[in-house]
Order: sequence, then structure tokens, then C-alpha cells
Amino acid sequence: MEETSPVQRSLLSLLIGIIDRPRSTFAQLLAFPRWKWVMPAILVLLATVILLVVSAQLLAEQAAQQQAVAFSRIQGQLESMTEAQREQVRQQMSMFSTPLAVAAAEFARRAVGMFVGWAIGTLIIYFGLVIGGLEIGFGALFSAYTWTSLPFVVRDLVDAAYVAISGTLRVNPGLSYFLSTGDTLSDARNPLWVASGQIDLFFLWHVILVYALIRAARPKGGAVGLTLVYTLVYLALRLLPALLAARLSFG
Amino acid sequence: MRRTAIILVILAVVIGGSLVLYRYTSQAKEPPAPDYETITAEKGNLISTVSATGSIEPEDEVALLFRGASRVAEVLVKEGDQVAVDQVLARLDTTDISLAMAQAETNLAISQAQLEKLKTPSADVDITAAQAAVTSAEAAADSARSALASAQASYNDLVNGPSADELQAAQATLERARIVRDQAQSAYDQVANQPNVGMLPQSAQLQQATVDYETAAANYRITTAKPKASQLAAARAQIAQAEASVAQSEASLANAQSSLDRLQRGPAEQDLAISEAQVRQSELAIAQSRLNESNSELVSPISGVATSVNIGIGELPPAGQPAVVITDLSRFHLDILVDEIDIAKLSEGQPVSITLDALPDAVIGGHIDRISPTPVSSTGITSYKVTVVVDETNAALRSGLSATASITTDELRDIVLLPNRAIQIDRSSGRALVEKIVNGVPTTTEVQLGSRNEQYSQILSGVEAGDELAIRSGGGLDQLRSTMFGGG
Repeated sequence: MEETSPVQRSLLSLLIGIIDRPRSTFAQLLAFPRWKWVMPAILVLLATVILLVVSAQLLAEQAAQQQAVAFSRIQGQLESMTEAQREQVRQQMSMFSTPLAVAAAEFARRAVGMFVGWAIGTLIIYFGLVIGGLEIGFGALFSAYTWTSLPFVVRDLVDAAYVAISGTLRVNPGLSYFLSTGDTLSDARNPLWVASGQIDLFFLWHVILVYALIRAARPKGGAVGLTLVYTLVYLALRLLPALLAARLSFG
Repeated sequence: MRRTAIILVILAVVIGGSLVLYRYTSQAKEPPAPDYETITAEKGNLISTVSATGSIEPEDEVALLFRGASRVAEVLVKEGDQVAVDQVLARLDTTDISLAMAQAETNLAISQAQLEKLKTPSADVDITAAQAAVTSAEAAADSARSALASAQASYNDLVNGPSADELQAAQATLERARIVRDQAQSAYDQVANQPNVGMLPQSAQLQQATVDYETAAANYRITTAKPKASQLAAARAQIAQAEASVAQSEASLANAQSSLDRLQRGPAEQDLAISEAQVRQSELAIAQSRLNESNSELVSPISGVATSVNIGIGELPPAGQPAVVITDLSRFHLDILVDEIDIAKLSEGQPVSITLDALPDAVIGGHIDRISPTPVSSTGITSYKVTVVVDETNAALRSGLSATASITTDELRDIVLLPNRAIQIDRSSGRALVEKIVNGVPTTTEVQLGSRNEQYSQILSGVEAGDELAIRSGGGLDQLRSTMFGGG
């Protein structure tokens, strides 16, 4: 049986508490939310940097390969150009496949995605709780919610370790292996593949933390339903890029 | 301590499980087989040929049709018969045509006779007779006019009654008769007392005088009486009859005068023109009948073999289908379509090697006889018809045999070769493209083509020996092959 502490705990204590006592830790975070989101943000970005440093070269090679395929597919559109113009296009496209460019773009995408994701996740839970009759501050909930991302920090570190050890990128994240055709480009345009790729042990851990956060905010009733709604909306939002890619795809 | 163990267990489960899952999911799945075939560009020799397929056709073949619509009376050939030039092959029933010819000839004779008659000058005796007829008609007209005047006068007399002189004469006659009777009466009165008075002449004189007086009185009454309606009607009828006689006689006179004038003047120009046109019409009818008669015969314009006979005795000639087909099987040719890309390499007289599907062991010689100056476009592909004349051969050639004509245009050694199916021609720009595999990815690359035959093309630049290329199955590249090498 967890108990909430009226005394503000240290960040290290909170980090450890997220693992084995998530509910009381979230209660602590809700009670003392000020600047608490900084720690998860630093950890997430740090893990991202580590992962990108390890995998930048591989990502660049993958990007170059995809650009070669893309260049081949738009060859018909380039036929009206001179050879010099086509070479210029080829060089411009290759500029975006250097390791630094790829890593920088991926870092920017993840950084922006982190804050947007936190805002959306907090909104889902916030409105769920407000509709359920609970009065809670959005800022406090946001600070607490950012701590539910810590499983993804672990995932990035595990990914970095895997890349460093194996020398290859992960091909099929989560459960997407079971829907994979082996063609990474067509898999990336398959919404089901994308959705299943989100589901792994870290995601389940994240959902458990969301459940704990909701229970910490409202100890009685409705936590399972709101967690389920959150999970579905979360997966649906993750599907949007894949759906857009599939619709805009020329392949 | 216990809490630390719990935390470590949780992290170990999550991290360890994930690593195991990573290992499994990253290695087990094989990528799908590529949807293309990989080939390697090699060096070799190339005999450039232009090949196309067609079918063996006889050099000359005519399909003959009847132009008439009668039933077939005679069929003089059967399929397979040798036929000479101008040989009659079949005839139609010409009964109708013969009748029409006889009718036309009769009409011609009639119209010619009428024309001749118009052109012959009038004889003097005819003119004299006509003049006599005019004189006679004039006399008859005068007589009729007199009769009319007489009838008119009678009617007027009847209407107007007796004149004053006639009335005075009648009164005088009546008065004289009364005086004579009175005198006779006085003489009788003097002897009236005698017993034999009846025997005396006074009695007879009185009786005579009385009768004369009564007669004179009756005449006077008749003379002064008004005419009866029946008398007037009869008089009018006489006038009408006389007028009709006058009109008839004047018409006869005009007729006679007209005939006389015509005889004296000769035929009118319009009459001559009409008559001449009738003659020409009759001549045309005869010409038409003769044409119909000639069309009733089917005559072969060439020598050859009757390869199709589609008529039978008593049948009507088939509509829209040749009655007899004559084919010259002594010479054959082959029409092929050659793509515009290759047409410049060909010239008339160039030798051609011909192989037949039906006779795989036979290679028959031939030469290009004609190259059409105008293209044939089909589904965006421009080709030219090339006629290849087949040389004399002992091979059992038949019309319609499928044949492939192969024309050698060049021979090259130790050059970079690619299968034609690996090359795509963009007809809008004329560029040749291949899919060269670069870093494992098929990449569209432009190549410069040299010579080629139906299987391989010489690559001048864009691909080197040893380069790998992708050939995708289906659609585009197969279509390329047919568009590059035309015909078949």
C-alpha cells in the first residue's frame, strides 16, 4: 500500500520511485510540480543524443539508400532536365543524407515531438479528469505527466546499446515484426505496422505509469477507462504520420 | 535492500526482454524478393538485324464480283482450277437482259422512223389535197352561216307577226270573199221560192261562195294570230343547230388550214429536237443492255488458280462477297512493318532471309521490293510497310503462312551488349533508359545505343561491362521490346 508523503522528495528518490512506487511518486509530483518537468526533458533529450550519436552513420546510410530509390522513382520527372541539372538535384538531395544532417533533423523532430506529445497527453488526461469532476491544475498534471516518458528514455538507451553492439539499426520496432513484409519503405506506409511498432514493453510500462498518474490524481474509480481512452488516442495520433505518408506516397 | 532488488528485477525484465525481442525481430525477417531480374552487362559480338514477321501472300490476287443481280446460269470453274487471262468463269441468266435489248431496239426503230418522217419534205399532191380540203371547209362554213341566217329570220318573222301589207292583203281577200258570198246570197234569194231551188245553179254558187268566205276568214285569223310557244322553241332549236353547224365547219376549216400550213412550212425545230432525243434515248437503252449483257459474264483478268468459288447455279450472287477469287500462286511476297528506328537501315534490293513457322528447316531467300514512303501509325508507334519479294523456291509455299523476315544490317565484335528487354525507349524524347543497380537500388540511367538485333543492343555509353541491371517483369519492358523491333 503506497502512501503519499507530505515532504518534498529528491529527484533521485522520484526517479527510483517511478520504477517501484509510481502512484506515490506521481502524488508527490502533483503535490510539488514546480520545474519537475525539466528532469524528464533532460533525460529524454540526453537519451536521444546518445542514441543518435551511436546510430547517426547507419541512419545516414539508410537515408542515402532511400534517396537513391526516391531519385530512381522520380527519374521520369527529371528527364526534361539537362545532365548538369540532374546532378545538381542529386547533390542537393545527398546533402540531407550526411550523418550530421540526419542526426540533427532526427533530434529536432524528437525534441519537438516530445513537447507536443507531452502537451497532447496531458490534455487527454486533463479533460478526462475534469469531465470526471476532478479539479486539477494543468501545470501540475503536465509536470507529472512528463515523468511517464521515462520508460522511453530507457528504451532509447537500450536501443543505443543494441546498435552499438550489433552494428545495425532496429528494423521492426515493437510488435511490427509480425506485420512486416521485409520492405522497409512499404512497411513505413502501413498504418498497422506503425501502430504495432509502438507497442512494446516500454510502451506498456508507460501506460502503467499513466494509470498510476490517474490513480494518484483521482484515487477512486474511472482510471482504467481513462487509461484505455488515452492509449487509443495515443496510438491513433501516432498513426497519423503513417496515414499521411501512405496517402501521399507515389509508390 | 529488498526495494533495490525489486527495481533491478523490473529493469532487468524490461531491458532484457526488449533486447531478446530486438534480436529476434531484427534478424528473423527476410526482405521480400525483389520484383526484378538482375543481369550483368557483358561484352560480345553483335550481328545487327532487322526482323519482322508477316504472312506469305501471293503476288497477285483478285476477288471478282458480279455487277448484275440475276441468278447464276453457268459456273465454269471450281476451286483449284487453273484459269487463263480473259477466261469466262461464270454467267448470269440473261433472259431479262435480252428482252430489254429487244425492247430497246424496237424503240430505236420507231423513233428513227418518226425522225425520218419529220425530215421528209411534203408532196405536191398532199398540198393540193389540203388546199381542196380548205376550200371544201370554207364552203361548208358559208352554207352553215346561211342556214343560221335563215333560221334567225324565221324566228324573227314568228316573233314579229304579219307585216302591214300582209294584213291588208288578208283583209282584202276576206272582204272579196264576203262580197262574192253576198252576191251569191242575193241571187239565191231571187230563186229561193222555186220548188226545184236545189237544182238551180244559184244554190251551188252560194254554197261555193260561203265556203270561200269561211276559208278566207280562217286564213285571216291564222295570219293575225300570235305565235305558239312550241313554234318559238322549234325556231330557237333551229337557230342553235345552225350555230353548232357554223362552229363545227369553222373548226374544220381551221384544221384544214393548219394542215395546209404545216405541209407548206415543214416540221418545227422543237419536233425535230424531241424526235432526235428519242433516238438517242433508244440508243442509250441499247448500250445499257449490251453493258448488262457483258456484266453477266465473270471474266478473269489474270492467270492463276481459282482459290474460292462462292456461287452455284440458280443462286443469286452473294452480296458483299466475291463470287470467285483468282490467285496467282506463281509468285509470293511478304509484307512486314518495320519500326521507324530501323527503317533508315533498309533499302530496296537488300537481301532478306525468310523463315517459316510451318517449315522450320527451310530458309528462303528474298529481297526488299518496296518501302512505303508513308508511315503506318498504330497505338503511337510509327512503322513503315516493307514489301519483300520471295525468290523462287522449291519450298511448298502457301498463302497465309506465317513468316519471319530477317535483314542483316551490321556486324560488330567485342562490344558491350545488353538484352533488349533491359532497355526502355522514351519515344517522346528518343532517349534510351536502363535501370542500373547502384548501391543495391535500381536507378534509371540513360544509355547511348549503337546497333542491335532482335535480342541484343550495343551500348555505347551509360553502362560498362560488369554493371548490374534490373529487368522488371511484365508491362513496360515487354512493350518496349515490341515497340523497338516492330512488326511482331
